[in-house]
Amino acid sequence: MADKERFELPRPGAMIPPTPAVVMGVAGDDKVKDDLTVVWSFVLDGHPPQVGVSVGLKSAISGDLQVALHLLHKHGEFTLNVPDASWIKEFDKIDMCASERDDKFARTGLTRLPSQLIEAPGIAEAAIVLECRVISDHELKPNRTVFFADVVRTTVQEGVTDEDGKLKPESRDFFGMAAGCGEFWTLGREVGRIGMTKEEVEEIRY
Amino acid sequence: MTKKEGKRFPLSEPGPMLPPVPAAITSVKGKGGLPDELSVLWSFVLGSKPPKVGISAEEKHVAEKLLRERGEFVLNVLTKDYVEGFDLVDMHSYEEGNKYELAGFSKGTARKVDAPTVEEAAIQLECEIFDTIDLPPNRTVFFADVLTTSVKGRICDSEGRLIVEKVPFFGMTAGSGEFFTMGEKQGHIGMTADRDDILY
Repeated sequence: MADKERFELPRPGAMIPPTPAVVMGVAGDDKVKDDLTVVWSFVLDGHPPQVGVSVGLKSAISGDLQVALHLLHKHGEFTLNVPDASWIKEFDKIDMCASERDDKFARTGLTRLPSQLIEAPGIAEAAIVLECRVISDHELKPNRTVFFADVVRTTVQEGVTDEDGKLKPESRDFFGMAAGCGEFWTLGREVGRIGMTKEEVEEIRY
Repeated sequence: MTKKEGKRFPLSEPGPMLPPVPAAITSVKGKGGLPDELSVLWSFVLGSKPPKVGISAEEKHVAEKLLRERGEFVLNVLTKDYVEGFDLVDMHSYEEGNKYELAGFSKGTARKVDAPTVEEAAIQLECEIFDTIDLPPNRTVFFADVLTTSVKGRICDSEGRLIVEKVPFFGMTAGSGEFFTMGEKQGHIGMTADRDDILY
C-alpha cells in the first residue's frame, strides 16, 4: 500500500547520512607535489580491514582534472586521514582545491606525517591515519574510478583509543558529512551498539 | 588547530577506523524458497552526480545470493527510535525467523525496483545493480544506480535538501561499533569557498 507520508525527491540522491569525511593523501611524482584531497571513502570489510575510495576524474568545483587520480593509479597507495572539528576549515579548503597543483600542506598549514609501510604522506593533525595499499581499481562510468585497498597500518593520536585499540568516539570532535545536505555534524548521543539486542555477543567494532 | 604534537601509536591490528559510517538496512526480494531479506551491510556513496552507491556483502550470506539473483535492492535509513530493530536485523539470520516480525518493521513496496522496503525508514534509496565485484577473501561488492530517493515526512526542503534537525538518523563509529546520532553542525561543504549548493 502506498505510504501517503512518503515523498519522492525531485532528483534521486545518494542520501545515506552520515558518511565519513576524511582526507586522502597520495605521493606526488617528478611533476606534481604530494596531494591531499577529499574523496568518497568507505569500509568494505572489518576482518581483514579493507576500505575503498571513489575518485572523480575532474574536480566538482573547478571542472579541471583532479590531481590525485593519476597519482593513485601510478603509486597504488594512499592514506586516509580522519579529521576532527578543530581543523574543519582546513578540511574544507582541501576539498575545494582538488585540481590545484600546489603544495596542499603549505596551502592549509597542515603537517606532513611520513607513513611507515607506504610512500603516501599522512597528516599529523589527523586523529586516525590509515595506511592503505590498492588491491584493485574499477572504472565507474561516467566520471569516476573506485579503488579497493587493504588497510596495512592504522595509527591514532594518544587518547583516541583505549589500551585495547577500541575507538573512544568522545575523545575528539569527530564529524561526518550528512549526505543530502552537505553539512558536517559532530557525533551526538550514543544510542546503541552493534550486538545490543543479543545477550551474549563478542564485542564488534567493525 | 590542536594536538599535532601529541604522541601517535600504531594499533596492534590495523582497522578500517572511519567514524562515522552509514548505518542502513538493505532489503532485497526473496527467491526460490528464500524469503525477502533484510540485512545490515557496509553501505556507501560512490558518487552524487549521477547518484551511485555501493554495498559490501559477505559471500556466504543469503543477501549476497539474492542480490546476485535480483539485481535490485533498497537502502533504508532509520532513525534512533528504531535502533533496536536495526540491531535485531543485524544479529539474526532468516533461519531464525521472519526479520520483519523480529524487528517490528512493516514491509512496504518500492516504486521503481522490485524489492521490499522498510516502511519505517526515514529515507529509502531504490537501487539497481550495474556491477558485481569479488573482493577476496570473503566479500562481494555491488555497485548500483540510485533510481529514486524517497523520504518519510517533511524532512527535506522543496529542493530536496535534507534537514538534519528533523530526522534523528544515526551513524556507526567504525572502530567501536557504536551508534551515534548527530550532535552539532560544524559547517558545510564549500564553506571556505562561499559555496552552499553542494548537497553531496
